[in-house]
Amino acid sequence: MVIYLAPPTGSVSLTTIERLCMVRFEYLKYLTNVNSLEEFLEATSINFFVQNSDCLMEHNPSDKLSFFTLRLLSLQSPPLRTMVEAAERRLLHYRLRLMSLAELRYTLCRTSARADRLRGPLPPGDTRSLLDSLVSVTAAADRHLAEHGEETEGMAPSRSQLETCEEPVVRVPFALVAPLVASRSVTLSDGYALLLCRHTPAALSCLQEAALRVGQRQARPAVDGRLLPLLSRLTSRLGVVEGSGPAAPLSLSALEAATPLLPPCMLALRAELRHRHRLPHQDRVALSVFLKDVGLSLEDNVRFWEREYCQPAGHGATCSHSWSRCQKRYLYSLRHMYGLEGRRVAFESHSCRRLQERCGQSVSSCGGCPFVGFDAPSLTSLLTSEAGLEPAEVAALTTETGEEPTVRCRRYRSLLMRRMCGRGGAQGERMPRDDSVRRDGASAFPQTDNVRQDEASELPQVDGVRPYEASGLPLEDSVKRAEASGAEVGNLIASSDRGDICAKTGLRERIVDGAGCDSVPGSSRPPGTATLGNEEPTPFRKPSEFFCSLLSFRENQSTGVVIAGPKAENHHLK
Amino acid sequence: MVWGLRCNKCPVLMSLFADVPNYLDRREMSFTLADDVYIRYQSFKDAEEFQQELKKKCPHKIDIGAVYNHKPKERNSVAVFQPQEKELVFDIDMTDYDDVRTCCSGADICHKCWKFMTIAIKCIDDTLRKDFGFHHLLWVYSGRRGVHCWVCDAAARRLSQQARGAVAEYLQLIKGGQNQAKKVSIGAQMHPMVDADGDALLRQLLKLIPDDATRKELATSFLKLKTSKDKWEELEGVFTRNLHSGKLSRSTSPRLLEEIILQYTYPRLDIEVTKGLNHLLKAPFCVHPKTGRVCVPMEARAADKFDPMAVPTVSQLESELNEALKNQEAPPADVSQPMLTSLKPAMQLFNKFLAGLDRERSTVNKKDDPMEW
Repeated sequence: MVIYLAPPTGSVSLTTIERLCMVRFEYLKYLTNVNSLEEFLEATSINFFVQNSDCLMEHNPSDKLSFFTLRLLSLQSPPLRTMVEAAERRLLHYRLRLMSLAELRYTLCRTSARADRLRGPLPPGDTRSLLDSLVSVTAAADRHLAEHGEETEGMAPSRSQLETCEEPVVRVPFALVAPLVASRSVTLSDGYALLLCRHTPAALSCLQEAALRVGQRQARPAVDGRLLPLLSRLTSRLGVVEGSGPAAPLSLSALEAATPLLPPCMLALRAELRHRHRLPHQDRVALSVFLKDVGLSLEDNVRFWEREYCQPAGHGATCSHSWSRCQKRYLYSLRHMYGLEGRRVAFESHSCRRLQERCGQSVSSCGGCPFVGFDAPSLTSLLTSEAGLEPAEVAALTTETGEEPTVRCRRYRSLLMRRMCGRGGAQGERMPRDDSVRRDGASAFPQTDNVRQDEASELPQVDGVRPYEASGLPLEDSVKRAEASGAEVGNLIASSDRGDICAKTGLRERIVDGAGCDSVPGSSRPPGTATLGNEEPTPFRKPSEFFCSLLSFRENQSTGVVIAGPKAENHHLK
Repeated sequence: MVWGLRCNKCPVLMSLFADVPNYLDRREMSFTLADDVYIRYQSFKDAEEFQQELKKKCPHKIDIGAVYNHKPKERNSVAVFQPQEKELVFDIDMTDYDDVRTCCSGADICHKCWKFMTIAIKCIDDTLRKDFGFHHLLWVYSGRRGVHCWVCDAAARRLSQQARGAVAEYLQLIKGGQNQAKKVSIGAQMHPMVDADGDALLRQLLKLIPDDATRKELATSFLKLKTSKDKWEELEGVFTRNLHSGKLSRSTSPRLLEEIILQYTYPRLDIEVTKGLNHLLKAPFCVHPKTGRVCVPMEARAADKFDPMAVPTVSQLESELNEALKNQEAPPADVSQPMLTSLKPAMQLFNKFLAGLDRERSTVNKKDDPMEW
């Protein structure tokens, strides 16, 4: 069954659980970079997934086990939870898309029957409401698909017929299909959303998500201690860092001198502040924490704002505060951000993803990610007048290419780096891609030979082949190498597969923005430290990391030092 | 505010109660004191404790937050401290209309631009009732330049953050900050919810027209026209003509006229206020520190009759009460004192709202959802 409602029962070894979870985790992480059905299907040609496909096939007990275990573990880590939720949603979406009519009807029937059995003893409440909706949606959708079959005289209707069918199917409480409501894809009446036939896959996806959230609410808050090492490995693979560490101190004068190196989002705020001497609240917070994270001291941060807010508000400013009246409030607010007031926890600066999501949420905002929230004239004006780019350079960045905004921003950073090297972007040439490829090329997967000696014999076989044999290395060599590097369990992939993954999918390690995971292996390095010296800079997930990497690069350029990047295998392991 | 708090049947506090044990003392409130000192995570076990604290601290503003799983005051003593329920709230601020109003800007309002607020109230009230099925909506004038809406239905209070965001985004037609000239995009099909100025505005209006040829033609013809009405008719004529003759560029939406109308008139929400379970909102009947006006409830259906300039100020109420008490032989029970002043209609409206909530509570099943599937 594709939508899992109740956890599995029975006994299974811890090693098996760990292996299944790691495989599923890697698969979900892979899916966060998938943007089309074709890319989704490419996973079937990757050996690692093929060899471990038992936990990636719907209706398979391993699939169910890994789903629930990851769900449970993700409660302990918000970034992991965000990634898992988004990726599971994507997985269900593609699974449903690939189903034939018969498979879809089978899935609907099984889900309906299971939900009906579960809801029996439940009193009214959120869980009962969810199961009721699941029963009504799956049963109604199945009936409707049967009618489709009759209309086409026993021949299966085409996917396009199903995807464009406007026949009403069923009404469900709006809260259960929140994504459809948010996009106004459904009509509402009296608290219910009217689902049409073409909404069926999306509605099932929403209901799975609702089931996931209900299950997460019901799960016990503490996880079994035996799963903690697995959780630690998962968060480590996600590149999650608890705080990015302090940046090197930066003076106010150095900041002003480095204004051209600001990322576009902060450049826009700086320009607005210089023009009107005021910023709306959210934009002011975003810039303040950015300044903190790039190394500005509290005193300099205060001075920065005082200089602007002491001046009269420019025409069109939405904020009427002045430094003389509101000084105490601003000072308290800044001290709070530095962890000196309130809960005494320093604020983290906003991530690129957060700034992208904020775009368009307030008409008075002048912030957010310019590659998302600025129309073409505004973006052009920013890049021309504030960043000083040439028309060809601006055109290359403003032309709609379908690229993710962070990719475009990385191209902008590459452009700045080339300028610092004395090589500006050539007229008419496409800007170099900043793919942030990791040195070993196998950005997505851990190494094959990380096997602890005492557990080597415990590893499950895949197709009769022990995992360590898949690497082509003799057992002793695998184990010895693993011991030396501080091994992990259950993460095995043939060395040949690493290149295979990148070649076949064309995917490089990029910022996992789409899945909501703000972290990328390699971003755990504190801002302000040296970057790679061969113009393949580390990816960034925050504007502060963008800026600090440029400051480091500039420093390296001026001292003539080329710093080799850290080895890839240490990128993601803590 | 103090008037309402002298009796356990205080209508304000009744709204914070529910027939659930320890509900009030799990409700977060915050005080803003003099010099902008802000104290969060306040909670009170009953009206008396609340009243004592009010008299002791004399807050300039009181905000109401969520009901948590534990007393906010003792949040550090529990491992898990998270919101359980919160009213679904909306905040509409007149400053968000600064790019479409020419009479005022910033914190200033007048009867002319207040019409935007009236439109917003009616649109949102209608949508929340008809589309989302909510019944218990309390609209409150914020005291200066906006309004708040508190949706107090039991179902609304239990909405997740995702569902709140979905409601807000459903209502948010106008997307885009200061760097996005065109903020409304309807798409190929008009959603049923959607389907239902001055020379400076028209200059801004021209920026919303992506088609170069149409924009240039209008810029020329506008120079000869005097009134906004004439200019709008000219825009309609030129656009319709170009649309039917296929002269419009591909990037121009065939629904451009509707999009322009919506961009100027559709409600503009602060989406973060609605989404956040952690967000607090000013309590009804507070006194706005800058204007002195009381944050009074208002009737959405009669929004076009509401006059923000006629809302009583605290000093006005004081005079009215003193005058009224002079003529009384025996002082009335404290709870009826607001009824002797201009606050009477607001209090009556609020009592009617609370009565509706009481009726809902008496029919809601309070059993806990068991944790077993």
